[in-house]
Amino acid sequence: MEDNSKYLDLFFEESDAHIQSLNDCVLDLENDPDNQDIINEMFRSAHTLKGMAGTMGYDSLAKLTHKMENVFDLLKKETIKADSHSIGLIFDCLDSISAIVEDLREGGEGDLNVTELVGRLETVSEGSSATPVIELFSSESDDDFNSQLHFIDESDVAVIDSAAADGYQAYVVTVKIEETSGMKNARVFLVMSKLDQQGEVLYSEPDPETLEKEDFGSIFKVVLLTQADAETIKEAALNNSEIEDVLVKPFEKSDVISNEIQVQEERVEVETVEEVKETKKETKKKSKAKAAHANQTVRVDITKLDDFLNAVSELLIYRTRLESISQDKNIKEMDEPLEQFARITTELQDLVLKIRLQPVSTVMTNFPRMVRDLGNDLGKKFNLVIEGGETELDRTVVSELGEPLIHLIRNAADHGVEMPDRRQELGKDPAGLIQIAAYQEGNRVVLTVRDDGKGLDPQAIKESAERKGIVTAGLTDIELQHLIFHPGFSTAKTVTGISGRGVGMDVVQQKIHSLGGSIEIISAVNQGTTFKINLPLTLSIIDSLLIKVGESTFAIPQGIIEKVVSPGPGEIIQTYQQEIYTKGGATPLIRLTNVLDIKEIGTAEPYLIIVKLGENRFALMIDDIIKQQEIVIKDLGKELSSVSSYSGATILGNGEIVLILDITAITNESQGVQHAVRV
Amino acid sequence: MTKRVLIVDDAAFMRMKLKDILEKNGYTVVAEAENGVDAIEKYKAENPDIVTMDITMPEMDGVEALKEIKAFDSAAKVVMCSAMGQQSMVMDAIRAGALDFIVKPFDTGRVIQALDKVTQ
Repeated sequence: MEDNSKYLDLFFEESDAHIQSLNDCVLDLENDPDNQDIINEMFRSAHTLKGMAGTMGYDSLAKLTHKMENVFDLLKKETIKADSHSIGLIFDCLDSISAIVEDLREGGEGDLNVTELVGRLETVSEGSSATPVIELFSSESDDDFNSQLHFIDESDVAVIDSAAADGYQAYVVTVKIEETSGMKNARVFLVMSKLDQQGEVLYSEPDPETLEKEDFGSIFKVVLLTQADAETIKEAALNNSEIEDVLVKPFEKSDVISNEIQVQEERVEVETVEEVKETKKETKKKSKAKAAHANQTVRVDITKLDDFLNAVSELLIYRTRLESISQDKNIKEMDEPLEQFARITTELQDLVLKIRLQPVSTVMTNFPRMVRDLGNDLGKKFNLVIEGGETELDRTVVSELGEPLIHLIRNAADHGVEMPDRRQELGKDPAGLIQIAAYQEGNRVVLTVRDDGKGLDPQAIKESAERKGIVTAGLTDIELQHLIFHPGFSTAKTVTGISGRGVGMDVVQQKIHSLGGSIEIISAVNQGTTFKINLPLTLSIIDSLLIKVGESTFAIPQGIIEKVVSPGPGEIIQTYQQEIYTKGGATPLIRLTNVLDIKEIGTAEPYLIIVKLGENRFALMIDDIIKQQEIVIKDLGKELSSVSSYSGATILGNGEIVLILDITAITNESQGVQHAVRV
Repeated sequence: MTKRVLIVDDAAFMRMKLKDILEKNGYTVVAEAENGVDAIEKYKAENPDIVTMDITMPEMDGVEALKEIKAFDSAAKVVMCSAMGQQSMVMDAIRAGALDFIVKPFDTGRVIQALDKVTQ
């Protein structure tokens, strides 16, 4: 077994692209079943997948894609139609292919059982063409590697005799192709074409038709009429790859075993096989308008980009250090080079951040397929619109976005959009709109998931929340709607397989928060619901506020800070359960010294940092504010991954290492999420 | 002197695999092309000793590209790369002047044998 492991990355990358392209194509095909361009593209993708799978030695995948290719070929020839049956089958195959590739990615063997699908594909192929399994008749053995012929026509013998007078000699050329060689018929054709250059092939055994059908073992014989000598002929035949041996012997009548016509009874012809022929269409294929131009891009392993960013980040740290040393020592000569250094590092930083940007569409590619399947499962119709897919975000953000977006779409499909007849009653388009839009706003990106369904009814939510023991007194309609982010909340009367059991919206909110973003709801009854997600462009470099808790310095991401206040006397009160900051509403107070287990120093004038996480506010009590600073987030590494209060660390100009507080985790821990009080 | 090869295949994966095989066996890969149009351009630019030509490709397939390369340089040495099931296109290619063909999945021995024979 060859070691193919180093090709794995490329294999996965290209497989993913082809699976995606197939998925997209099938979706297009469903709407436009006669479009040959789409079918051609599908055929190519399946073909390439097959080739890669074969090369990697993934038999299940190769087998499945091969059968799919056969079916696509029939689509191409219009022998079968792209109806709901065949499209459903293709989707099932794609799911199976994805599963195999996923299994491989996780280190599995990728040998999932594809027998059932292969059977179904074959059933489709049958009727239009016979089963594409070729039974090789290997009745011959090495004993047949001789110059004996079974039959020759009398007229050929006459030709041989008369040509002898003109200096032409007839040879029996026996060629043995390597047993394991693929496409022996084409191999025969190649050898024949070389022999044709030396003279004239009078006769072949087996006959040309059998050779073309590949209905023979690995030996074939021809009678060649030529002026060349035996050595030249042997050379011409042998000088092709995958030819094991060649015998060349001057023709004699005694070489023919029997002159009776015995070919007929040789065997009952096996049901002939319509080989998957490339149609001429393929050859004359028009180049498509959207064809890829030779764009000047380079593929780079993403870990290299991560390393690059890391290196730039460190450069940034040392720049800050150099600056502070230069200031401390008051070295004038260093000012100018330091300025240049600062400029270049800033450029580098911008550059690497730009390189790491990825269009949000990369996580949206599966959505059309998903919405289609949701429609089928729910008996609803959807009209999916994706806008601004080209909007770019840091790849770490993009890769984390898929899950929450899928959740929101599923919710929109399941809970938002009504059944088609209900929609008609309401005078809406029977097909519900699900719109996903992305756009950039300053250094943040806004993503919206909108449906034109029944909207979030505040009263229904209120009742439901009360049944679940959530206090709703005094909440506005908007606040009631935001209760769906409350853990354990669900408005669905019945639990469906699609959007689950009321876990989820809180997870969505948490995920968005962990990405440094926020999510809000805009919804009106019978008009629809819009989820608006606001995200930072990058996660790697953030504006932060450096603070002191006890004697230690920490960083808090600036994005979530609403304001910083000095609490006046009596503004902090102790309630039954906890401390509350009372000015401008009741905000739960968290003493960071408690949460972080740091010794209190009893500052006379502490500060409260009011952070806003979604709709929840918290007041964090700290001892001092140092300054605002742009910091580079460094991973804490595996050893500290279980420490939940910190999202990372950064290195300051003076070399000091500062931990970055994970406010979401801290508030969850200290409050217990269920106690989060609304303002 | 090492033989200079132009690899034509739409899948980067296949190009990488083939390039590895060739370079381990004393060939120099001077260029790679990802479709027929690209192949013709690279052929003209590099004038390689030998071309490995995939058949199924977007833009322009391997048989068409072969024909154009042959029209430009009748002495061009082109070996087709084909998958099972493409016999008729391989035959078209041989008619159009392809010197040999190799069948995917690639077997190192066979690839090298084919190229060695063609460049003898």
